[in-house]
Amino acid sequence: MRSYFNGRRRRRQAELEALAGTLGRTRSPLGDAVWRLRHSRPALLALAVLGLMVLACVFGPWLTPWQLDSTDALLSNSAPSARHWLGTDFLGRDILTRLLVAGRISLSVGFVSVLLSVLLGYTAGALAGYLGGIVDALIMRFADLLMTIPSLPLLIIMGAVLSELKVDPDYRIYMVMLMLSLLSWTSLARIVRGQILSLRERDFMLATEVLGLSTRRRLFRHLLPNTVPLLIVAATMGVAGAILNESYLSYLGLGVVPPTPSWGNMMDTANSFVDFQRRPWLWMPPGLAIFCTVIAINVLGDCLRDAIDPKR
Amino acid sequence: MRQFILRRVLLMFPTLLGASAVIFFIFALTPGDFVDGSISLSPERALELKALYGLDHPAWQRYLHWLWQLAHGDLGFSLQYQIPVTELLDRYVWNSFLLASVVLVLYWGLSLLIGVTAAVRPHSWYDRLVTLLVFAAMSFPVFFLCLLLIKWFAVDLAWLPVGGMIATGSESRGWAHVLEVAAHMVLPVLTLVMLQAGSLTRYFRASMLEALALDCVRTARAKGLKERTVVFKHALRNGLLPVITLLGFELPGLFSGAIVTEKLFNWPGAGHIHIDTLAARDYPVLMGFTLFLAVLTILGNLLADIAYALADPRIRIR
Repeated sequence: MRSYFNGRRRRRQAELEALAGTLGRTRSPLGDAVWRLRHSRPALLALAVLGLMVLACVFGPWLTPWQLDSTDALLSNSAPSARHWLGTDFLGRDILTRLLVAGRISLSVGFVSVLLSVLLGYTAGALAGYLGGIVDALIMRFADLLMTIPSLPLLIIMGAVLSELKVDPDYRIYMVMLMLSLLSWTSLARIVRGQILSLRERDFMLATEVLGLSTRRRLFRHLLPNTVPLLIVAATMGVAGAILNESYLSYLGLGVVPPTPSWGNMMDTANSFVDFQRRPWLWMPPGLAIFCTVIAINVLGDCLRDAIDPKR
Repeated sequence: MRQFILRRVLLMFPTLLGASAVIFFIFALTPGDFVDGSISLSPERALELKALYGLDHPAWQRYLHWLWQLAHGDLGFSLQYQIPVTELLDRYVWNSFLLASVVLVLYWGLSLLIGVTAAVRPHSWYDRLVTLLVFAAMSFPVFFLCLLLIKWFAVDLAWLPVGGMIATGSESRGWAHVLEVAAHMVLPVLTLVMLQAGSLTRYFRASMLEALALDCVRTARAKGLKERTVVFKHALRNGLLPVITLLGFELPGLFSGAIVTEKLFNWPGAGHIHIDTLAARDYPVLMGFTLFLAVLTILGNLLADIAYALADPRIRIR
């Protein structure tokens, strides 16, 4: 009799352990997304390109034998060779070194400005979505207002203001970051607000209310974390946009200005017809660098969206 | 429906007022103006000119004055070109419009064709190639693409003119003139079509994929209709609707001029004027033009909303 009960208990125990095993193996939504991402070839390729680009820009300048500003009057405008892999510019500065340092600047402008605009957009969107009422109306009307003014003309004007104020070239990078983020937080705010509005009506939020959780816990443990996946996608795409916008501004001479190199202002040399026609090594490498970086970010963002929301 | 449109139209006015304030004060707070920019003036003459252009009044007075003028359809007077802003815009906006309208027709047609054909066979090699090209188009910096095209087709091969709208000093008339302008348009049009077709193709593809998964399409297939009828009659109509409403958003783009492209191809359009007047601190033109674009953007949004409400009655309830 006793052995019979023991046998059943043991069997049930084994069943429970097996069940726990399978439960343990099911992934969280985020883990699931990461798993899907690791099994998508385009995403891995994009990550590899991006990683290579970042590594080269961060460590490259220390590894090249040339200094950023070391000039060589005898070797100005020389074509790519074994000594200077991508040739030299009109002052005899090594193009590859400048390209890598410019990459540091352009990439950090892209990342930091998106970080800032996520901070702004997330706060504004969360406030608007959660509080509703007059706060919502005020924030969203202001966002609509900013969205009605075309952004490139506005950026160009702000760039001109910077030139007028005679901002130190070293500080200009930070101003450009600020400008880009001031114009791009609106779409992020809209996304976050929409997410919060729809999440608020879901059953799990009702459950948190029924369970009597504190407002802080409901907000920070249950509502806001659920908005993060979409935000990651929007932010990734935002980095690509910011890098492109920075390059337009710098190319027009209104963004990051020399002597600080950026991918955009390095292409400024193409404005001189002789350089443009005879010396493509001056302006083609930065253009290709922008293109590769931006396409990698765009592909990665797209794969992220698929990984986070497999229904689409 | 009438109430919906009326509410949207009424909502336009406060938005417009806000946009005008933002635009004005960005310029008003900018240090330096047209008079400060010219170094050849004596201090007395500069003061005189400032009084003449009303630059000596406080910003809020100038804003009200500007609004008053706007209400009478007067956008101000260009300091650099010495003609009214409306006249200046009238002279250059149509060149931009010519460029943009050709581009619009071409890239909508191209995107529709490519997007739909890619959606019919998802994950085929053709679809993958399209996806890759779409990403490439979305990632090209405008000026880099312009430079590459100029370098290859205008400089190295010398097939097409480098820039401008007509050859320097040309006085061609009639068909010769049309052909000349057309030849100058090829490269800018190519650039803009390549850049803009990317994201639109994605919209068409996604929308068509959604339409192909609809129950009515399955029913059409179950009835034994030909695949061509199913795709072009049943799925395409459903797939087109959401994208067609995007046409409203194209309205500002038709007149705004592509700033970077027009500058690089030296196209005498609104975008080119934009950069030129900026260099001279010709604020009346810049303010008038930016406001003009804001108005078009608001109108475009309104059109898109109305088109969407017409297409999908569920939207109107909001």
